[in-house]
Amino acid sequence: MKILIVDDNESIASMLKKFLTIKGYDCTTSQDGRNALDIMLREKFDIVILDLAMPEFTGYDIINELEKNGKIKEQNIIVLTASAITPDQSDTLLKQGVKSCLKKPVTPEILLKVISSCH
Amino acid sequence: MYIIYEYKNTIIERTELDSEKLNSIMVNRIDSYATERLVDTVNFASDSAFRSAANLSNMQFSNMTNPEQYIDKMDAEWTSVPQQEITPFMKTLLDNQYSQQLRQISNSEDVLFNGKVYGEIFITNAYGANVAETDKTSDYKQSDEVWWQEAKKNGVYIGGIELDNSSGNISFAVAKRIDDASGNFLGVIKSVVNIGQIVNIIKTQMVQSPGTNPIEYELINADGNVLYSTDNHEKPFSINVESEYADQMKDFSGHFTYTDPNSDETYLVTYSHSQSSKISPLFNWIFITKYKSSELLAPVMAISNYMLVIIFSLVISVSILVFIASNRIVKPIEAIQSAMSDYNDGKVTEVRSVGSSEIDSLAEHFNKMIKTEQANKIKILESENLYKGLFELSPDPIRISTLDLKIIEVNKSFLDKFGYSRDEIVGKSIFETIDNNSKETVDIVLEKLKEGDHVENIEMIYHKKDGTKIPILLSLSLSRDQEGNPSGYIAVIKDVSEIYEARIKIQKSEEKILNQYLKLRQIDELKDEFASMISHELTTPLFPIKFHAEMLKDPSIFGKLNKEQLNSVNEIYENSIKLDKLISDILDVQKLEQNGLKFTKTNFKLDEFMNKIYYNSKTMMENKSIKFENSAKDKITINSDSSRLEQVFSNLIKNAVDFVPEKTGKIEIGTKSDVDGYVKFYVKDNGIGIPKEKQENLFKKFYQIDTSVKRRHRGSGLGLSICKGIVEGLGGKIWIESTEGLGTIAYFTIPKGDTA
Repeated sequence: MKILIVDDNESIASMLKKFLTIKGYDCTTSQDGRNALDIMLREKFDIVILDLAMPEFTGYDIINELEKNGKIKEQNIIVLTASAITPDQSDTLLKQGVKSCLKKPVTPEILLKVISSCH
Repeated sequence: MYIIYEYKNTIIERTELDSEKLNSIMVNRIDSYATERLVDTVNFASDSAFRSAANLSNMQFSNMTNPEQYIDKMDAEWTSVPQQEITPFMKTLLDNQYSQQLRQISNSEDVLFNGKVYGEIFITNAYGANVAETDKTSDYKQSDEVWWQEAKKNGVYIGGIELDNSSGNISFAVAKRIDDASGNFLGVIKSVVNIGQIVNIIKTQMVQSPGTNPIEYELINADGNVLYSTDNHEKPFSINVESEYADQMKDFSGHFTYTDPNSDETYLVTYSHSQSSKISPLFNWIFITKYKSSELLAPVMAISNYMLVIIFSLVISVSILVFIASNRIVKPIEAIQSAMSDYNDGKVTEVRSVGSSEIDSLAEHFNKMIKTEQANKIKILESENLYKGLFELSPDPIRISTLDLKIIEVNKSFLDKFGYSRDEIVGKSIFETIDNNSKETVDIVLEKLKEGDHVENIEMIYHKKDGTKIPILLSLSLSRDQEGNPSGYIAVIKDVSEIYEARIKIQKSEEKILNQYLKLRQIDELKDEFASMISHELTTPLFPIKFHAEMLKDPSIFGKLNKEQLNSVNEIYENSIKLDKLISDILDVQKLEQNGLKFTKTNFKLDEFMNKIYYNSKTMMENKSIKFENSAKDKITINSDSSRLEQVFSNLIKNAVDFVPEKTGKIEIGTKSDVDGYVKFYVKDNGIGIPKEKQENLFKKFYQIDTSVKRRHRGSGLGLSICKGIVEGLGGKIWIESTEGLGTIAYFTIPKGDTA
């Protein structure tokens, strides 16, 4: 199963890749929003783990672009952010087609549970 | 006869001049009063409460698909019910907190006037719909009203001066645009300002007014309607001013005469327009003083009539005398002639009886004439004294000067105001008291004076003898001698420093408040941004720390650690949890301050909830050998936010754990639901207790009982302030009962809520 990890923080991206690879997933990472969008438009992933706050091209921008192209439902996006998201904000994201919203620091246990429930 | 004619003209001219001056003083007083009221009103319209009233309503309306349609619908319903009827919709509007606040303002009283300052006040939102009102308005939709559109466009609308005949109230309407801090349109506040006090100003003036008494004072508004009349006239001069006399009163101030067609009586009318017409053309009034010409000229007419009788008699008598040519007559006539010649030289000689009845009668007439004129002369002197009194007693400084600007005379008020003695100033140039900056104005004023004999309310700066500057309003009249040639200038100087200072003060304090507000807003925004930023920036590195520790703890990922390694990893893990808790506490505090803490209420069973709390902490208590008890027995269902309540319990229990003695520690949790509509929760410990003087500060942010470096218990000091925010947000109360050395009980109540 293919997972794309999008996070501008290198330490977090490589940690998640290491963990999920051990757990048997085929992982790709991207630390740049625009680059991540290109990859997503080119390639199909089973799960995308997406950070929101990234410089220049944010997670929100990616979600908006995918929504515009009508491709958001194909991607199984799990938002993973360090900022507090209000219930209103998470409602909007879910309405746009995001599968789940998680707040950092998430535990390995919960992350695995959400991944397996999303596909 | 020419002298009588001249004298008549002098009296009329003097009356005109003085009366016009009085009128302008009156109008100035009325203006100052009304302007103060206007400034007050515009100021309270800037109140932040009304800003948020309009703002909240705008937010509601912006969610509607078609707000205009809604307003039209509500407006139609509003106007379809009788004036006295209050529908539930109107009642909600009239009862909201902003309407109550408006009513508080409208109930404030003017101490001078002894009546209410404001009539109706109401606020509309940016869509023109009512948001709050003191009384039921005539309709719901205001966006179609001229005042609404003008206030939106120009910032302020000032309506005309109106008289309510039933209550006798004089008022005007002010509408002010409500803006947010960045100048965006939020709505309009309209108020009706009562200025009935101006009637008292007129009444006071009437009592003080010296000289020939006018028979009537009238104050009329821009439409020509009488606002106040000492004779209770409903129309100026009891006739229609628009058709007949509006043309006569086009100048800023002046006079004219008119004859009442019914009684043939002639009246002298002097008038003055309000300065405030510069603020708004509707905000104009005219103050009118009316004299009966016959009363004004009574002394002159008396002389004139007697003169005619005497001259007529003389002609007849002389004809008879010539006719009979008698010596007997010549001598007495010569006596009368000599007396007349004496009279012309200023001497008064009485003609004695000569025995002839005709001549005696003539002599008697002559004597009577002389006496009457004597009496009239005294009357004139008295009248002159009155004018002198008016000059001397005028509250405003008056200065009389020659054409080449040398001061001839000043009144007492002038001397008091500018600090000179009469000898020091009389004979000096008028520039003695004029400030350098205003010297050029003098030329402009003199130039203006060539167009008419009078200029009014020129703003200038004068100064006292000691150099203190005084802002003044100058009214200058050209005086003329009997031949009608210019003879000098009469200046009435009004000290406006109080108004000036007040204006500057208001401007300064407005600026200051605005700056402080902007600064505070900036700080507030910075603080909120900072809190969000900090939590995001702290969470980012915390996440890999905690996640790595969790991976290391799980032998299935990197393999099994030895005991020492596992201990280290556990330490990292425990501390990362503490840090995570601190970060979410900081965010909670920030949300509480912004009133942004959201609650999700559900129905849950109290006993199940208490069991969960108990089992959450049970293991930790056992590890620390603390005796832990749950005495809750209530089995009711309540409606509240269970996860936030869990947060409160977890904070209170953590505090208790920190303060109970090792090995003999005892903590008990429980509930009492017998309190009316509330559940009372408690956490009881046998810890060290809290001194009385420190109990009230416990719930303050970052508060630590022991702030010393060596303190045993550490923490952010946010826990209890968050507990307080949550409990109060859910509608309850939280407090502490504690005895030093014996222990502490933390109580909090929560409404049982609607479980239906």
